Amino acid sequence: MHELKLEDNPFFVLGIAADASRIEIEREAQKLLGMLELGFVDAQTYPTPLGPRPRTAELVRAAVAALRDPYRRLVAELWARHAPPAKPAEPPPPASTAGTPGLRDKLGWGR
Amino acid sequence: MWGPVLVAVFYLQRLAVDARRQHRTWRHLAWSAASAVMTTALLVLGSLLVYLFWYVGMWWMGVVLVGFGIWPMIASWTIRHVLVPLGAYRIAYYAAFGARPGKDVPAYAMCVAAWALVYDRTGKGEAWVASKRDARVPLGDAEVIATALMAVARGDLDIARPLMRSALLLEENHPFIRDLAGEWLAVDAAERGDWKQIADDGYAAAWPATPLTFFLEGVASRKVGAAGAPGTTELWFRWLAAPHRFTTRHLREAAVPPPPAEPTAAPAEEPELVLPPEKAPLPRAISAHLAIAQRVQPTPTALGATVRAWDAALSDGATHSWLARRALELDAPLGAVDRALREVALVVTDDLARIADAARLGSPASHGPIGDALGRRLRHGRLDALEAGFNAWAARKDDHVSKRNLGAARAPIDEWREFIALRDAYAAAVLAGGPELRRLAFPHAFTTGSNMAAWLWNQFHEYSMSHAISKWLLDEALAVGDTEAIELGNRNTSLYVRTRMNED
Amino acid sequence: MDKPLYVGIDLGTTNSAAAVFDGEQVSVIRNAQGATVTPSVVRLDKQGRITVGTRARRFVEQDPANTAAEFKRLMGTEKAIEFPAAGITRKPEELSAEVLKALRQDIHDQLGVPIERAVISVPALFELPQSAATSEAARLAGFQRVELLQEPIASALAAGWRADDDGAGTWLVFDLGGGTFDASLLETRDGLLRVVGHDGDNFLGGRDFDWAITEHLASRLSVVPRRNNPDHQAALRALRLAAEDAKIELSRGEKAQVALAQPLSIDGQDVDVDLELTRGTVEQLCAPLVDRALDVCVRLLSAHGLAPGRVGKVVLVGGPTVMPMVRSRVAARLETQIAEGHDPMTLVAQGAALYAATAGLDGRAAQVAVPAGRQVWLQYPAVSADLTPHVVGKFVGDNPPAKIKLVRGDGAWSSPEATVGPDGTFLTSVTLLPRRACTFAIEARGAGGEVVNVTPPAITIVQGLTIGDPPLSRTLGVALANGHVQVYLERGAPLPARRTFTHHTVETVAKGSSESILRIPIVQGEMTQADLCRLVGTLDIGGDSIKDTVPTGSAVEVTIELDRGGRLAARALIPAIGQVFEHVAHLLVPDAAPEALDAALRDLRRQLMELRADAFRHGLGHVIEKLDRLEARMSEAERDIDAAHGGDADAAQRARRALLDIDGTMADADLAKKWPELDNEARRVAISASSTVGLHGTDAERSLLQEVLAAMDKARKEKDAAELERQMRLASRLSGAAFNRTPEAWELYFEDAASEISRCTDLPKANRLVTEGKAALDRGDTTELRRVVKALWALLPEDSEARRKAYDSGVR
Repeated sequence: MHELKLEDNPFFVLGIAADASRIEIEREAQKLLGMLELGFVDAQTYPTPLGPRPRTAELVRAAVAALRDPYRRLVAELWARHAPPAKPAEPPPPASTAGTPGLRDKLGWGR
Repeated sequence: MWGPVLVAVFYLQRLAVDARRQHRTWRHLAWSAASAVMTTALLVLGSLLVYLFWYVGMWWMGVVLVGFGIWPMIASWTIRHVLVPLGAYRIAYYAAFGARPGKDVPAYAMCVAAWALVYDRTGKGEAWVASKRDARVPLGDAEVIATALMAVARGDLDIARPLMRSALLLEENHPFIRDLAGEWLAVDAAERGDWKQIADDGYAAAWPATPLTFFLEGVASRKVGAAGAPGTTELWFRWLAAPHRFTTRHLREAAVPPPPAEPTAAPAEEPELVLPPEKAPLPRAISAHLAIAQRVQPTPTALGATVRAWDAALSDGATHSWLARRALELDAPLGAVDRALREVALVVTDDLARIADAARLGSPASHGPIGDALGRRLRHGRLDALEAGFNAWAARKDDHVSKRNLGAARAPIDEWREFIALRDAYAAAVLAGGPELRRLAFPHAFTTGSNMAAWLWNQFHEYSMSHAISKWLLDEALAVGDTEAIELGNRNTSLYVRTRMNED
Repeated sequence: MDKPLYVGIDLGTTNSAAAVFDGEQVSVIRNAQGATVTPSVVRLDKQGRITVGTRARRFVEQDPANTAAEFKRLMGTEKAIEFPAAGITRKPEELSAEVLKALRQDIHDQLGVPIERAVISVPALFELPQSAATSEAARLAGFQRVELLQEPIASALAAGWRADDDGAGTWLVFDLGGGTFDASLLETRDGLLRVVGHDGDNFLGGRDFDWAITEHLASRLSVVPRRNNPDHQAALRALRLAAEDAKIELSRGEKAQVALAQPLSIDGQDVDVDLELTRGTVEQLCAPLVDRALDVCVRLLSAHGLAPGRVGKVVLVGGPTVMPMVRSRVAARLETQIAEGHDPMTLVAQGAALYAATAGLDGRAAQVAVPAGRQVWLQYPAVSADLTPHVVGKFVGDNPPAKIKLVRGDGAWSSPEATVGPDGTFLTSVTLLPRRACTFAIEARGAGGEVVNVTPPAITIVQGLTIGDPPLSRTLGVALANGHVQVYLERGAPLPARRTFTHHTVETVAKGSSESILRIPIVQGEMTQADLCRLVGTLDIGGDSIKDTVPTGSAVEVTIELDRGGRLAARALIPAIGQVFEHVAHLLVPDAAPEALDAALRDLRRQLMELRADAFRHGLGHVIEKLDRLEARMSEAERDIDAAHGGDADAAQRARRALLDIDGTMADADLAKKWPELDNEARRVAISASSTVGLHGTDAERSLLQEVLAAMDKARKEKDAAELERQMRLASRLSGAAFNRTPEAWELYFEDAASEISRCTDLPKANRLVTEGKAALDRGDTTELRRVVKALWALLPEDSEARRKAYDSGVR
């Protein structure tokens, strides 16, 4: 099954432009794999239009393998070039205030 | 002379307790007051008598009176306010025997023990209560409610809620146990702030009304502005009649009716995302898709707009020429452009189907390639899921011929949970898919469901459970107008269902 | 020894080889006999002593019972190989481990270094159990870590590495091994090697050449030995070895004499063998087999839009490609030149060694170095196509140096000074010399400019052709309850890989019941139907291991992980109860009993006949053609099953896989003819429902039927089979409801049900019901008849076929 190429688009995973050359792609992937292996903090996430996502070595490997294949690169480009810009991380939504937390317990019906 | 009077007053007190369960009007309060008066009178009289017996040296008569006269009146209070909070499930179980005279007292005892598990810190009680439950066949509402309370004790509230509610489907009816279930559901909904649910349950009189349930229903109907909501004074009385008044006083104070709705107010949908008009079709479609994917509750309008955006994008000449040019530059294999368009259409359809399924949305009205594919995908996905579930359920009937050799039926409660899960999945699919999906889904559900109902009735004498399945199938048959199924359903549901409460 | 040592091993069916790459040169390891290839033959004598390689091969003819060859084909199966003299049995992976041990020893003897890590090549279409068995063999042989690489990629890497012209362009690897044929289309650009496509024939190899010659020789003997006769196996074995030798001899000469020192004993008679074989005869015998391989190549090229003549060059790999006829036929048909200068016998091992460098898998035992300065962890490519790769590093401990610089060994280049972050991390890049190994000294300075000694003091990077992570050879997924497959890792996915999907249960798993099981079957194969893929493992969640009943529709998050050694791990999380399950039952390649194969073949033949008849009826020319091809494949499988009856376990495995493939192709053909059939059926149902509902239906039923018929028309126009089937079911129901109002309906149902009582689960009860039914029929009591029919229906078993096909999957 194919997946929507917005979250794990190879270009987003590698943090490179959609017109990057093959060698640039390989170089960036090799750098990111090294940085992930050594625990570089700034390699841990990558920005996407859906907000930042965690970057893993598997994702980087899969991204570079996809971009080596002209057809898969074409599809990845189709998404990457036409997607809106990456979004920063969003603050967590505020906790709902509609209910009465702890009411069950206070009325003798458990925690 | 005092003896017959005592027995008569005691009987009247029971009648009052039972009667208030039936009413959701001022009668509830009246019966509550009557039972309170009689309880007080009985307690005073009883205490005097016990003192008298002790005074004349007939202490053993005093003990008998405490056991048979006083304890039944204070047992419920003791269980609720002492034994349950202590998590003393075994003591609660045995104490309950004295609390409820009448039929099938062990059922109430089991449920009370399950309730006490909620505060049992040892974690050992579940197996004990489960053994009590599993010893009771066939399945009735008590077993279902006890299992739901066990799930509450484990903290699995998402499992507990539908299970607790499913007790309503069963023909066997223990009013004093349904008291507990109705109250738990009301308290749980109040904690979550789901006042509409409480008001709806109250309006439908789905559960018997305990004083606490009655009070919460009053708060709920005031909060949602329901017709016939109690006034401030009545709510005050309801609060007074219910336990835990200190805790619930702020609910009473906050039970203010909502301001009258503005006649011009828009429906409570999330505002639609406005896309810049100058964008080319493909970026527009991707932006629309992103917007719907990030919504907490996607709407049918947003889904339709996204589908239309994709249909426009994938048929747009600019998209095709861009793909053709890039395919050439990248030296992509022959046919890459068509393949890419097909792949994008496929992933978009898959993803929109996932979004629509999660939000229980129906097929969009749009009839382009994506719209049609999404419609088909949603319908088949939902029907396939239902058929797989019903098949797996019915296959157990013939398991002795299948490779897995699972043997016969599962424990009654697990059979019930299977049915409930399937019924809920069916309801969710029908809600999203509309009458057409309901008509398509029914024949298969009917065939498998009828087989299972017959099997459970004939082989395992699970009358209540089988009746509930038949009743549900009949409702569905009526909804889709299947005459043969209606005929069979009428015959099956008219069979006399023997339960512990109606057997002699 | 300062230079790294990257080891590659070609663990072949017939021969094995090893090669090492030191960063600059690839060299092939010679064994004790001085040969570059070691026969994959193991002998166990009476004392249990093990002999491997050339010395063992000598005993194939003399003592075949205690000498095992071609056991690679049985890898991943439960088949144990017996050695009667020593009275012991060995698993295929244990025998492969002996071959690997011998190769490991040869490397040690030649280079004086113990080897702990290596890359081992496996056939392109190896399944997971076979890959896992190869990894296990390596472990048994004493390797600490191995990675597996597909053979065609290894040969391509080796061929590309040596290309003088930078190898840019498209080329083809023609790998004709002992038992399989692989064709790989490759492309090199910017120093990066990419497998464009792959095709192959799992049932075509040098062995088929040998058998063709053997059967030709056998037919010329006075008493003809047969492959399906267990008593003729010794004679056939001797004849096959002689045929193999003659084939090799005919690669150089025009004629060869096939003469055996001892007469063959066939059916109690001594038969002398002294026959002449000419190159022309051998070429004539083998030409159809070579053409079959070339058909695969042409198919591969056309699948990628290429015509013969558009391929830059062809690299030949494998023993049989030494035959001049193979070379000339390949060059002629593909209209291209054959790449010269490669040793077809060791190219795979060389490629594996080069890949070991790409993967940074130094074969030498890890040395415990005494840190002579600040220790730094470094990440860089051991081999890089890029001329300016990055070097990423991190100093161990607090207060790292402030600046770092890398200086190339020739002194002609040094990197700008990179700043080391407060956490000890830094990032810089180096400039390589094309096609050379470059060493870079690491120079670090403290905040005050003082020199800081660093361990390691230098790194080496080779510039050359590289390839990405080894790709997964077959798609891996989970079988769903509806019989389809949810793909987790697609063919070609780089390894290691991990993927998670959320499924939903289709039935309740009851707490405490050991009989209630949620099964998650893991399958491998390219088909979308689960039963046509291979079941490679199952993750079973039993009712006795869950803390609460899991109701139908509960979410299950399944994660599948695959490492480079073909080891599979799976994990299922059930969020509703917060429990994780990880125990995967790994399945072996199933045993192939000849009787079971016979039955499967009979079944397939029957299906084929039915399909053919249907296809003729519907005039489906393309389906008929496909079925003709299948028939030819079935005849081949039949020959293998014959050999399996003669005790050839390898042929049995070949037949098993062939039958599975045929089954898959047949399913395709079945689908192709399904639509016209369904369409016809839909018309029939529509007509019958219209008439029955029209006559006996209610008004509501008639109006509902109109809607259903409209929906059926729409589904037919859209060719939506699933929708059409559902609407047909609805139409049949409406028609049935109307029909049931007629008295003759229940008579008909009764007759139908009574004719099937042999299938009933409770025969005595069914017989009793039939008697009661007959009585009711005589009395004209429709109500009673209806009761009897329904009771009979309840006794008929439901179809368990669908469930079997989904491997009993409990998820959707």
